[in-house]
Amino acid sequence: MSIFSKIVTALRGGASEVGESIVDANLVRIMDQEIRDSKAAVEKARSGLADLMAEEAGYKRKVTELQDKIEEYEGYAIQALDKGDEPLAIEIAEKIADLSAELDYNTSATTQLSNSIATQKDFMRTSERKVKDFEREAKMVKTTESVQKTAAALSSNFTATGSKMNSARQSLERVKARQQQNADRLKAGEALAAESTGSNLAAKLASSGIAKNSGQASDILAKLKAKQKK
Amino acid sequence: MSNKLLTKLEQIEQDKLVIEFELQPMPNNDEIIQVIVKDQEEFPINITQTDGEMICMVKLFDAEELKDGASSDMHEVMLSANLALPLSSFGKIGATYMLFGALSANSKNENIGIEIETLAGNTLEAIDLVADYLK
Repeated sequence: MSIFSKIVTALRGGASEVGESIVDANLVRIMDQEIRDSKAAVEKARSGLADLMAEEAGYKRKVTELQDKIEEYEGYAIQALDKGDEPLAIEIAEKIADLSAELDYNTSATTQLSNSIATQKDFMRTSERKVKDFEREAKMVKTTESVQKTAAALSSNFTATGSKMNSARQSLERVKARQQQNADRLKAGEALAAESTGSNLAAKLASSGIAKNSGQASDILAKLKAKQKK
Repeated sequence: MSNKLLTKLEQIEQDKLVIEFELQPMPNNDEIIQVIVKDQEEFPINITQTDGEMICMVKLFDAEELKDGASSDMHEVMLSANLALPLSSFGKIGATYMLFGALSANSKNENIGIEIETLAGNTLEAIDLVADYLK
């Protein structure tokens, strides 16, 4: 049975007290071990991959060098033939043959390394996915356990206080009624506050500029200044 | 772990960024913190933190509150509603129906606040939605 179906079975079973586990503790330990092992394998593969890629780069460089050299010696051979120096041309041709053999070796080494690198990358990807899978499963187990504990705590909490929980329907109605009441109270309060300060109309008049508060400091100051000038 | 969670929640409570609520530790389980939302004390939000995840759960009702033979239809409604409910989903543990939301454990306080607010609102919507199936 997969871990996920075990988890679902556990959740269907209901709340679980602290300490009780959906999967036995051994399995959790094994999962943690697998995660560690797979992670180590990925790390090892990663450093191995770096080595292989460095090696491949070296062989590739060698291939380019050899190709250049062969081209260079081919030029020499043609020049020797142009001069009619057959023995020198043969000597150069032998050198070219040696270089070609070396090129073949390096080319095939490059190909082999490229294949190894591809394989290694595949392995790494697979291992990384495995790690992710293990981690996901471990998380599932831990999450489920804590969700079950929460459910258990919820039910025992209500029985502990001795108050049988009301039905969801009744609770909803009560909540709605209370919220409505609060909203009404808030509205009434606002209206009352506006009235009691008498500020409602006065504020409107003031803001529209119809009625002005003559007691304002700025107005008084203006009057005083006017008097001073006279 | 839950101390860190408690500190976070206390900060959110003090910041008053969202609806008013009170925090109440669970007497029998220190891994869970109850968030009592003002004016809907009947539906406390239970927050617990596990590896990388924070789960906020509200108990809706027990299966025994369902009318006879209503569960199948109600499940259909719940599955469809799951997609439409912002941030929250229906769940079931044993015989208990839940509404829950999950966040990354690294969530900012602001987002946890939004989760609490949304879940509180969704709870009332959710029960309203299936009220016809309840006794």
